[in-house]
Amino acid sequence: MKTFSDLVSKNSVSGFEAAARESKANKAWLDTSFKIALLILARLKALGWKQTQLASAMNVSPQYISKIVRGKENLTIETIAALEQVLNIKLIQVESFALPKILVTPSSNWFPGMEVKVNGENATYPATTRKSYKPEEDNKLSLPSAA
Amino acid sequence: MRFIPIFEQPNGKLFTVHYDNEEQDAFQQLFENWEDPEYLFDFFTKYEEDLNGDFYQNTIEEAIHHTREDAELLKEALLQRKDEGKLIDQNDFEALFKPLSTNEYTFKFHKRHKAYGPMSNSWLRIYAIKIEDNFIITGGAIKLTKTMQERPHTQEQLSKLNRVINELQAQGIFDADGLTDN
Repeated sequence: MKTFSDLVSKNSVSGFEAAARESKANKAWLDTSFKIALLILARLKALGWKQTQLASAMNVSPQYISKIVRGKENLTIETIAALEQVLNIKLIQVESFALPKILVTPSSNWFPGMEVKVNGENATYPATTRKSYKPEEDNKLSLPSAA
Repeated sequence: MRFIPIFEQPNGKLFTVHYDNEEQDAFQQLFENWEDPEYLFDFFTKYEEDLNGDFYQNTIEEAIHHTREDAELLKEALLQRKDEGKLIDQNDFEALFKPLSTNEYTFKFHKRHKAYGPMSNSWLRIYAIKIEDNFIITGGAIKLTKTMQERPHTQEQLSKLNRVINELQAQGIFDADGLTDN
């Protein structure tokens, strides 16, 4: 009598595990491409565009756009920039250095009263730190005395 | 249709169906859909009304992220169990799969079952036929309504469950050992 195990295909297994392990290994960029894909899909909907229109505007194939909106394309910065330009949206934001910014204040012994302007505004630069310096301590420096 | 094991392992209890003319088997296809931004965007746009219905109150964006996270948790749990060698623990599956409906007892063989996603209030469903201690996964769905009959995509899953039962019966399979309980 035939049993269920007789019906099971030999030498065949679901593609689930291989696909799951691959997506796990690539999770870092897949998470980002997933979010980018959603932004593109929402933008296309808002513009009333079809994916083929985006492909034409980008001068790429519809298949390539399809791969992007399925989150399967490991996008280059160049492609992201082109998408941002064509769709007129921001897809990713790169943080600047996390250093605090300070207003440049000219020290009293360096062109007193001068303001540094960049594009008409007071220029700011990342703060720098230095060890406290006490000029009087210089006086204490001396060569090792001869034995 | 073909029946294939979900994991390559001896004495495995989980199987799935590879339907004719489908590129992927039913189980792989489920996760492919639940992690596909385009599929999820189109799906929740189509059923946006259900996201503001009797059971759920979510935006499309929330629904998309919720679904993906739920699917990832489920996937990760399965991989972990596989790696720990615990995927043949019958008690696990009995706890995971529940009878599809309260009148499932009317089916002598091939009882239809469902499993939920791991997150609380999960709308993910995995559907399976139980043959003795084996589960044959026929498909799954994002279920946003009370009954499966209310939406075409869940109705389709009901049809798939019944198609698989018909196939098993046509092949003379009434339980894992081929016994007919006479």
